[in-house]
Amino acid sequence: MEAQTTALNQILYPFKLRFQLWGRNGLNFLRELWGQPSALLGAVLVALFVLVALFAPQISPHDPTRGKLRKQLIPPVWEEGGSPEFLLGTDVQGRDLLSRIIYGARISLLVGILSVSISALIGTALGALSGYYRGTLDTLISRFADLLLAFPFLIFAIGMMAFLGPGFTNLLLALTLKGWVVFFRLARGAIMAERTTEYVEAARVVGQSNPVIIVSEILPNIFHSILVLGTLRMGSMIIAEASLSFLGLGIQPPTPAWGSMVADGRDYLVTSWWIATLPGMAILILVLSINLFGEGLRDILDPRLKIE
Amino acid sequence: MFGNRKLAGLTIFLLITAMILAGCPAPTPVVIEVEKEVIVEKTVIETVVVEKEVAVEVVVTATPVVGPQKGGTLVIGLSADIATLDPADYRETTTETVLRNMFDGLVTRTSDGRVLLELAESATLVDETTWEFVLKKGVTFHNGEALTAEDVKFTFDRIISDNGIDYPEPHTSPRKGLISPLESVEIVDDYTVRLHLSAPFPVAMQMLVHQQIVPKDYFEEVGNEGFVKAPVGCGPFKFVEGSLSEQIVMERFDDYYGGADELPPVGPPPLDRVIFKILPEASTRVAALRTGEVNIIQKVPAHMIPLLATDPNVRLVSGPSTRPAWMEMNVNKPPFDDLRVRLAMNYAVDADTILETVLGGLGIVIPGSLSPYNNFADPTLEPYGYDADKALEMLAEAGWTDSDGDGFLDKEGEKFAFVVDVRPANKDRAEAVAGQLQELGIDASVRVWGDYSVLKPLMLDGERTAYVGDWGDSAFDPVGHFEAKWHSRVEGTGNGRGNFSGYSNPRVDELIEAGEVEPDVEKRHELYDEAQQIVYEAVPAVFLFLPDIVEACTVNTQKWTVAADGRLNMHDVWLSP
Repeated sequence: MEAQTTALNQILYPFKLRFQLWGRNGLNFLRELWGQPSALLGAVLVALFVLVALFAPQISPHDPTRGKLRKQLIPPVWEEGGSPEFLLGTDVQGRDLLSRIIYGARISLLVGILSVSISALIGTALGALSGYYRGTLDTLISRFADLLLAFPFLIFAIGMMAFLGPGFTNLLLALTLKGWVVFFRLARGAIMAERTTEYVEAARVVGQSNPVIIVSEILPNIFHSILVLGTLRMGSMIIAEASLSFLGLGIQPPTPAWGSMVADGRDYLVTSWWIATLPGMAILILVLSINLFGEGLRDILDPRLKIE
Repeated sequence: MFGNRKLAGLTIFLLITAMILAGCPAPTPVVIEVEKEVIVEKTVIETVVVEKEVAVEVVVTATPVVGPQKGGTLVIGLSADIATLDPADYRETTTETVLRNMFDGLVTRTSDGRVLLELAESATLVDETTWEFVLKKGVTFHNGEALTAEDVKFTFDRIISDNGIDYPEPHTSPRKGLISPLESVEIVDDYTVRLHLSAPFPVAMQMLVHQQIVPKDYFEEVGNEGFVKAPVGCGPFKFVEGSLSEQIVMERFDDYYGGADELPPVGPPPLDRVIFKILPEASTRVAALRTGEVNIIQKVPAHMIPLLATDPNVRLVSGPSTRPAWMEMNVNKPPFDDLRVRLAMNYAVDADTILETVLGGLGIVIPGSLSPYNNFADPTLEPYGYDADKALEMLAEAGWTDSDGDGFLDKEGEKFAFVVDVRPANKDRAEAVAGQLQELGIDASVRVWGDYSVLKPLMLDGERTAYVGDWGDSAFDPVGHFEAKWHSRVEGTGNGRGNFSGYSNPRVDELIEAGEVEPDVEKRHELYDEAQQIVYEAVPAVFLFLPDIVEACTVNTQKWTVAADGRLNMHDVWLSP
């Protein structure tokens, strides 16, 4: 029991070190972030979206899925005919657009975070195996990854969704089935470079087993790259989800998703512009903030990544 | 970087959209005034549908132009793709709308539903099961070939024989079911044919409207595939070029015999060219009409009517359609295998409100399975009407109550949840129905199916739960409609080909079968009244409404009106300068 704990501690120790380092540098990090107004703005907005998503039931003024048909197509409050009851207006079903956008943030963020996390997990694990052990396994996985890379991302996802049918789980599946490849390539390349460095050699000489070397020596050193890539990928994943929902292949009505809200409002663009435009703005702002934040993160954490 | 470019593109797109929208005027009280005008216009148009003479007068007074102007190209914005150019190989309205400008049939129908002779000079019922048609002489196809009895026989043989169609692979014509009692066609002489039926078929003339004649010699020469690529008929326009998903271009057939004698003016059409353009998106169609890029558009969405009504260059035309809408419920699967639950659904859905809001009030609520304009609709039926308390009461009786207080009804620990299937065109009304059921604590969600050919077999096999859809009765007769929706499904026949609720009642089957062959109108009324009564009481569907057809044209489009069966007949239409 104690031996196990020690072994675990041994594995976790380098992570701990790094986090301690980060903690110590936390102030530094914030100062650097402060030096990049765009990244800071991104961070604040992302945080705001996360808060909105977390407290959706508390802050949304109406039920996002239930509308009153008699109150359909009310314009936003600043337009003529707007009502303070519905700040951003209502859609054709008489549902409050503000509440739908608030709840839509949940779907977008959840899909973004989950699909990126799962992709990163799978991609890094396979990349580590490939990059460290090389050989036939590497060839097999790499060729498979190349095969997947040959498909354009969205076309692949559309095909998968058409095959699997709509729904949240299928959406995640379709996004991660191809999403892991970029993480795989990053992790594989990084580990191939790291495995010949002195500290890995040293660990090997001390008698560390290969899995321990991968997990506790190499991974902490490439973790920041994966974190940065993950942040940057999140934007694309959110756009992919919105695109699929726009095409009617993602989240099904009446669950509010920004992409399907844009699709709903498309036909009403000439007469009721707010139905499509406001969720579109939400997608724009969220993805923009994530990308601004991600790029700031990259500049701070890993200047080497600048050339992708 | 890729992400950045995409981002920049998105930003620019949204900014431009925002700018355009900022320039759009907000709806003003003027629009509301105009909405009243719409209602006035609508009443006028309803008169149009009932009495054609009145319509002509209205058009003439509206524009002081004397006679039809020759020439010009007219563009029509269609709301859906065309399935094929083979007049024997489709079963939906858009294709028929296009093809019947190139192909004529033995008989045709006016926009208000009367049947007139077209290629036939006379039609006689020789005995109960034999129709004799004498063809007009001197009718030629677009390739110069003369129309004879051979062509008529060839056309019908292709439709009624098994695997009569060779392209893209051998299959039986989907139009066979429209004339299922037809057994054989006999050539009496060059210009006389007899149609032999297996049983009396009182709606023969109404159903024959949907069968268009193709030239035998040309067809045999080029084959089925060649014919689909370069179709030849004897209609007012001949095929020039086009693709099924973009546009079909036709030009005037100068040797046109003139069509139905009773539909003057008779002769070649005034227009040089007609282009059927496929514009599935409503806002695109409306924009194209307002810029004058197209002359006529199908399916004007309700919320755009005020916008078009204020446009001095646009005329709105509407009239009752032939497509009653319901939410069909699978009667063989829980929760809808319980009559009380189905009845409760009829009380739970407020069809009036959906009609008034989502459909802009254009249409009427229907009490049962048939359109009230159907010649055999039972006038004694009354809509169940919205009554939420009654609905909840009946659901409680059936065991559905909110016992765990989560806001949703449940029974034996299971939540009342189901999925409403719908095609993209009907999404708004399906969501409205689902929304109203949500209000009562029923967790109804909507699934939009882009591909009907995937959904339809699933529904026919009883694998789905509910479907918000519609079914056309362009013959204004239960035949073609009633047996498709409410007869038990019989493989290999037309019976039950659209029975998505899986409804089956031996008495209804019997009544439908009797109604199809009963020549006496009074007796047919009795048969169909009883059948409607039974279906009304068994509620295999939530009976919703009969929406109006709303179309629009540019003001210079003359002699065109909306047809109840959705047909766009361009023969007499002309463009004033």
